Amino acid sequence: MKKELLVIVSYWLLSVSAWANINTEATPSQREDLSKMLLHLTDSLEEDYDLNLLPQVRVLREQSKQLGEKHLQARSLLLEGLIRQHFGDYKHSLVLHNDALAIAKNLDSPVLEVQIYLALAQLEMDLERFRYAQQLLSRAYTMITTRIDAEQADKLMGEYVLWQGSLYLLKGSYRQALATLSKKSLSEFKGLSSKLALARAWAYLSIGAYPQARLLMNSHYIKKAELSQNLHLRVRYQLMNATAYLQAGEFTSAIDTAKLALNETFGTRFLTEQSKLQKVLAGAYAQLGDFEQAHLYLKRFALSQQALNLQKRNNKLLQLEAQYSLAAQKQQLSVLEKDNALQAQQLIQHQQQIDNAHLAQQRGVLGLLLIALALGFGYWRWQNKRYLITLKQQVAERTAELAERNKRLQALSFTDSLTGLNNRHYFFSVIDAQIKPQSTSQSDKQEMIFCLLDIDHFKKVNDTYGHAAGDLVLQTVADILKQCTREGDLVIRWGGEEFLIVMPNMTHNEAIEAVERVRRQVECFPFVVNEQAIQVTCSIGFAPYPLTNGANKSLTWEQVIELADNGLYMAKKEHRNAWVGLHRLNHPLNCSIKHLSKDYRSLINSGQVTASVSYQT
Amino acid sequence: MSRVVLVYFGLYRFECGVSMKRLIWLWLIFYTGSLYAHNQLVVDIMSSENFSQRYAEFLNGRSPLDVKSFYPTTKGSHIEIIEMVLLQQALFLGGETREVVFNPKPSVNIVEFSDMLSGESLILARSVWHEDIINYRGSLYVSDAVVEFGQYEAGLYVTKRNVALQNLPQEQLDQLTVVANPRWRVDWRALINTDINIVSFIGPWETMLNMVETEVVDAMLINFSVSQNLLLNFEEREYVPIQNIKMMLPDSRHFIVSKKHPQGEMIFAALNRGLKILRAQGVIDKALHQSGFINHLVKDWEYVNQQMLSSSQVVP
Repeated sequence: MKKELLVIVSYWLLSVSAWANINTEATPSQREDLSKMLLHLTDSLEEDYDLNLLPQVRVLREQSKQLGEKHLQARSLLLEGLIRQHFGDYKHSLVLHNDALAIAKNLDSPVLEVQIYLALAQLEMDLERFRYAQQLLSRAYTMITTRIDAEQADKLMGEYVLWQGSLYLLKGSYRQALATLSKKSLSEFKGLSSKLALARAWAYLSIGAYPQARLLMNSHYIKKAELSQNLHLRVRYQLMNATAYLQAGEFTSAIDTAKLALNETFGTRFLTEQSKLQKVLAGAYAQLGDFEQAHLYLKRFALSQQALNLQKRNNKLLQLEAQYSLAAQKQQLSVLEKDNALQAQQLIQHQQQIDNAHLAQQRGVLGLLLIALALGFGYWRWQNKRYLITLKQQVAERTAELAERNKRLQALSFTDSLTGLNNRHYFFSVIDAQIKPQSTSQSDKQEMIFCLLDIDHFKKVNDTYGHAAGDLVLQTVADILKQCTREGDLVIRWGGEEFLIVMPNMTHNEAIEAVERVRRQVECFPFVVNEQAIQVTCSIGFAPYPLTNGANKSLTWEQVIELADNGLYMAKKEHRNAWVGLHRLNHPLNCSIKHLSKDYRSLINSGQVTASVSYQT
Repeated sequence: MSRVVLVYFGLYRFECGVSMKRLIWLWLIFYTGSLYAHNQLVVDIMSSENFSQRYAEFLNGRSPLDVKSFYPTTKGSHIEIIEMVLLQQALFLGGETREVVFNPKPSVNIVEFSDMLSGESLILARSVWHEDIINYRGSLYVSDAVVEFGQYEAGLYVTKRNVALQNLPQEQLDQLTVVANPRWRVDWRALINTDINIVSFIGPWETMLNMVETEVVDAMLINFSVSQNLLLNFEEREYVPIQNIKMMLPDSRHFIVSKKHPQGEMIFAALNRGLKILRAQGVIDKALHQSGFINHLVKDWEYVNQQMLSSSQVVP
């Protein structure tokens, strides 16, 4: 009662001071106060896990949090976790321990970390999760041996040994527990000697070695003062005593001790010890032959066991639920992940499809563009080609036209428009080519005859009947000449009413025949002018080519034409409608050819020139 | 008839004799008459552990006292029969010469061994785990260990068709699930001190084996079979242990005698005396080895729970 009052008062005082100190910096004295408070709480906790300590622990936590005292905050979290776990609130104590652990790791405080690991190991042992408990203890052991200095390590090692031994006991590996708990002399662990001695005694009892257990329990390692202070420790001590009596066959002592202890456990939470004591009692009574009592205590034992089992079952159920919810969460998570992955995949596929479509589009456009370009180019080329062809055609046409025109022009320039016969130009352009073969191949056999023809009294026709009648006469004479000559003969309108006929490959006699034929044709042709028949005649002179002027001196064709003209002149002068044909020059001519015209007759008569004439002189 | 033969046999041995055993034979002859009224020693068998038929098959008409070779001749586990033989030989060597009669008894009681505690039963045919009787030692005499701590070995049996599991390496035992009955406390303790996952099942042994068969669990902790290749054949189904792995059942086994029974003290004295003789003669070891209980095939196999063997040098 007194203790409770003290707790309430101190709680009130602390609350007031906490309120007063809000938002203020931690002073050394405040820090000292908090440390003292922590020490007090830890000591109280050593005695028992009293629920009434919780408010104080929480005040300590809040204050240390406000003052930024992380270490104290972690310690207070650990204390609350320890209290809660002793009352079965495993879930919250786990959270609290883990919070404390996070702070301890940040502070790099291995001592605190080890303490938290040990607390967590106890929790796991309460839940019978021995594998996890072992992992935590191993972690604690590693830290104690590697990271903590010798002085602090000793106490922690004691705690470690205690919990490791307890774990082995819980797992039923009694020899291992005994080995662990006996590694060091109990005198080395001052504060923990009672607890360690009891644990070791329990290990002995578990293998039925009650004499050794008794020795330990009666030794000075178990502090009587501690037993009187700590109810839980006391009950356990009595339980072990009773068990030792039972194993030794001292049933009455076992019953007395167990009953005493059982009385102490009424109204406490030490259900495990209660059930064990009840079992001891049942066993002792049974062996004393008092089966009624044995039955009674067995029933009570069964009830306690049932309650314990219920507790265990709930814990297991919680674990299972936790595991299940974890598994369910994991499953959900994995489903979600799968879903996400699927969606991501779909998204990627979609994106890819879009990309592909884009690409296809681009390709299509590019393709179309190319096709259009190609078509355009083709069209352009085609057009070009067509245009070129057209141009070429036009050029060809023009060229042809031009050629035609040239031809026509040439023809025109070589033709006499009135008679349709070739003119003098034509004669000059072709005569050289006509002469050459003549001079080379057939010079000996046949000659070329140059023959000049002139229409007699043509001026009279013109004057009498008009120029149109003259033109008609000219045309008709030209036609007659065309008819009377051979294809290869040249018929030229030499000028005015004068025509030149060149007859290649012809002897003098043949020439005489041809000329005579022409003269006669003209003489006989019925010319009709203005519906009036008129008589037209012509005179002709001719000479052969080549012609030698005496000592092998050849005359030019121009000279030959001149000689023919001289013959014509002579025919006109002496007769008209007649012809004079030079055959050869018997002597070289001393005078010029022009001069011959006057003396043609005399030259013939003198025999210098041999010629034929159509008339008689 | 058998008694006559026994006596004759005894005399013959006496004439040639040197050993203690022969003195006992002599003692037997002289005291036959006085003990005739109590000429049967009743040894109780819990009916759940009644192996009388296989026991009779093993003896095949011989006297249990004549059994020198313990090689198995019947199928299945053999230790129960060997124990019945050893018990009789020990009693006889310890001076208890009465004919042993086994008496099957139902074992439904509120308190374990209540008949033994009350003195209604004198002695049990089978040994018991030490941890089952530590709190009854005020009422029970506990003999020297028949099977000493660390001698009891068992295998993790899987179906023969499950080839992959048969070669499971020890590091992967955390992937194994074993069915176990938490009431078999020694088995249970052995298992929970490993990484093996346990499915707790309270029910018939056959059902548990069926759980292995139907792959509800992977394996089950069973005494090594005495057959070749350690093969266990049960109802035409075959099971084999995971190779190179064995478990130590962490307790010793003892015979118990009631302290309350009027003959308890005497019988216990004879029994323990005889057991010491058998131990000294190496008969117990021979029996355990020959019977295949300590199986030479698994001699070099590794313990899964080696750490439980740990013995300590206790510092005060």
